Amino acid sequence: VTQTRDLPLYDFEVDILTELLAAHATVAATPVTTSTPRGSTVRRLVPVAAAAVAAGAVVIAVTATGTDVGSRTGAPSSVPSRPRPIATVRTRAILAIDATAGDIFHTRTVETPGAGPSCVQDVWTSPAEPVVGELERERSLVVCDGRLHQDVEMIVTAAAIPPGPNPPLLSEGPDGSPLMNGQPATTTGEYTGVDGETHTWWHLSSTRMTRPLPAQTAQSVRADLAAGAYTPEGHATIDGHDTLVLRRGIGNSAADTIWVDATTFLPVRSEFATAASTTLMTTDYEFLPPTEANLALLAPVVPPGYPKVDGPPVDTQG
Amino acid sequence: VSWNDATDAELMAAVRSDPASLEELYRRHRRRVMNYAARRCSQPADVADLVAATFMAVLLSASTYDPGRGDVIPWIIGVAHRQHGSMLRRERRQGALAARSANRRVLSDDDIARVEEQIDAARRSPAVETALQVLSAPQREAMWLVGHDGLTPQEAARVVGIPSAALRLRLSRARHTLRQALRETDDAEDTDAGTADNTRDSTPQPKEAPL
Repeated sequence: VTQTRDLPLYDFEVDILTELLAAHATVAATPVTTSTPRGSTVRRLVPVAAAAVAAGAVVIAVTATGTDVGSRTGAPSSVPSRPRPIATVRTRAILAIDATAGDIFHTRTVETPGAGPSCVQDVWTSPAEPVVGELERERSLVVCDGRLHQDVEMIVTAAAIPPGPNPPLLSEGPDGSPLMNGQPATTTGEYTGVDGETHTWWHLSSTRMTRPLPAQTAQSVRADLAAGAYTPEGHATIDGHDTLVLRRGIGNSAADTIWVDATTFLPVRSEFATAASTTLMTTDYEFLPPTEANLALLAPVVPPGYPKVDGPPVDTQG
Repeated sequence: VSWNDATDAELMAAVRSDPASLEELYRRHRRRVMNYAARRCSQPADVADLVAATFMAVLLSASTYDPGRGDVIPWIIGVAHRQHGSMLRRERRQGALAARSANRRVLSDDDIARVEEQIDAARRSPAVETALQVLSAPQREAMWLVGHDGLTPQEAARVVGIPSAALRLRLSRARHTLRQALRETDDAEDTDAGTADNTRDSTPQPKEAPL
């Protein structure tokens, strides 16, 4: 038993485990069946299982539509008191992210200053996992050396992500049109921005524009985790929260570290560092329920005295 | 307290209340179920689907497991057996092609290679594989459950839902049929070889199926 148990999980075995745990969160809340064993029980219940499995859709629907922060604890809703095998932290983190599909995903990235200014970028994306055809909002606020550099919001319609792993960042479609992450690079939407250099702001509706450059989204963090190769490296405390540390090497010269909340399994922070331990980029993560107050965070703030102009200054978009 | 040291029966009792016990059960027995699936499915995606469906059914029907009626492993194999039956019935209803293309699990190339390896390992002996085809489906299933899946005849009987005496009889007939088939194969090979090996005893020796 021990030997089988300790065999590394194949990718599809991880997927199955993820589906099982997603289904568990739903099934655990339903009454226990008292049917007799053998065929009939299993057959009757399989459609329920299929529904629960459907990409964790049931779990997402249950947890993502609420507004109570307390209900959004990520993977299995009943976080057990028993210690879990550390090897499955990755699975639980993926599941936790899936359960936040309707949330607002907030990242704050701090880059270690080189020769240039020290900048902090806040990005809010809503919903964290948009479905095709849904309006997705993204606000990016960049403050350098304590001064506003740029504050823009784009509202576009989510496009289908092409099948297959890792579409290239930039490529060409069959008709030669530019693609970004396999999607049309340009789209029509709303574009509001504030420029800290020219002290102006603008709002454009139904405008043709470049899609927002993919920032770190909940889905990109999920994809990183799903790609595997992380090694659990124990616990650490971040802002008073117990976290589990996952680390992976990138070639021989750099490493990625992700801290995952030990209770909710949601990612809390990531860090990209060179082998010389020089931190290049640290990103803190936050999953916010889509309350009115939190949705207001997606709108840029125009400082007093900034005049409205027809459009963004050259080279400020995308 | 960790589930690592828990018995299978303890895990089963906690499956619905604690996801960690479900995970432990899955980690312990997934390969056993995969072996079962690899014996019966020719496509890697089918193997993965059957493993997933089996553990999902385990989650849903864990409360029906009765430790007094046997160990957990044969119970799980029984679940896999019924899931496989459902899969086959579904294919027959929908048409094999439609069923195969509907909601198929997508496996990476690496995973496909690993599962194909598992499928090949499950059918290591072509001679036995060919001979097994002469058995009726119930006889073949009885042979697989005991010879390949490692169940006792009593456990196998529980899986297929017949009295153990009937299962033993089925096994006995299957072994007899298989022995005959293997002997005929051997005879055919001797005939093909002509008289090149004239030192060999012309009386075919009975072979015991390596099961």
